[in-house]
Amino acid sequence: MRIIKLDYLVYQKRKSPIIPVALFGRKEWKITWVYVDSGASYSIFSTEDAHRLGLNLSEGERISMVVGDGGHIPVYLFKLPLKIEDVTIEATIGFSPRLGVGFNLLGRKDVFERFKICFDDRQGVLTFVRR
Amino acid sequence: MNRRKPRHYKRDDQWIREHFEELVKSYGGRFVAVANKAVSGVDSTALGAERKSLKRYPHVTPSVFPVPDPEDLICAL
Repeated sequence: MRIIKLDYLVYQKRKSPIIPVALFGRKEWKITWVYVDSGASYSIFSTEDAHRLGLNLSEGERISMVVGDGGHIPVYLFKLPLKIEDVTIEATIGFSPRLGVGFNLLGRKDVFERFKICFDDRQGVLTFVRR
Repeated sequence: MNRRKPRHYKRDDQWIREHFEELVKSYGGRFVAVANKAVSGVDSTALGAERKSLKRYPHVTPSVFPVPDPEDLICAL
């Protein structure tokens, strides 16, 4: 059983579950950091990252998602290799031009199905257990 | 197509953790690239930050990410 432990990022003593991941786009791996969000149905990245990965948004599956203020945002879904430490999974990743938060979100779809994930806010450690 | 593993993945992680406060204070709301344990590119776009980093360190795959504003770190998602 593969167990991965990753420290939270800390800003002014507040801990946030933001971790490094790698995504494989059109031709190579790209490294970025994501906020692990158990309340998000899908992982959503900005379209900036789609451009960096060499993806054409029109080739993704377009869906609409509801966000915190009750509004809807367009999201383009792709199935991409996602690496957390040395474990690679195929994950559904959405890209939205209207992602209204200052970081990318790693949500439940595929990710929480393939890992058991524990948030230890006191210690500031995220644990991923590969199923 | 090389899907074996990302180059330089994990190399700058600890540096980013140790310098996250400075990154938020200096670059909140922008994209930064980090390579060789230093900020290697800053831009309003991820692609722009990556290009600046690759110009400086052509053979190093940078970590590129949006640096949140301080207010973004208190969220009710």
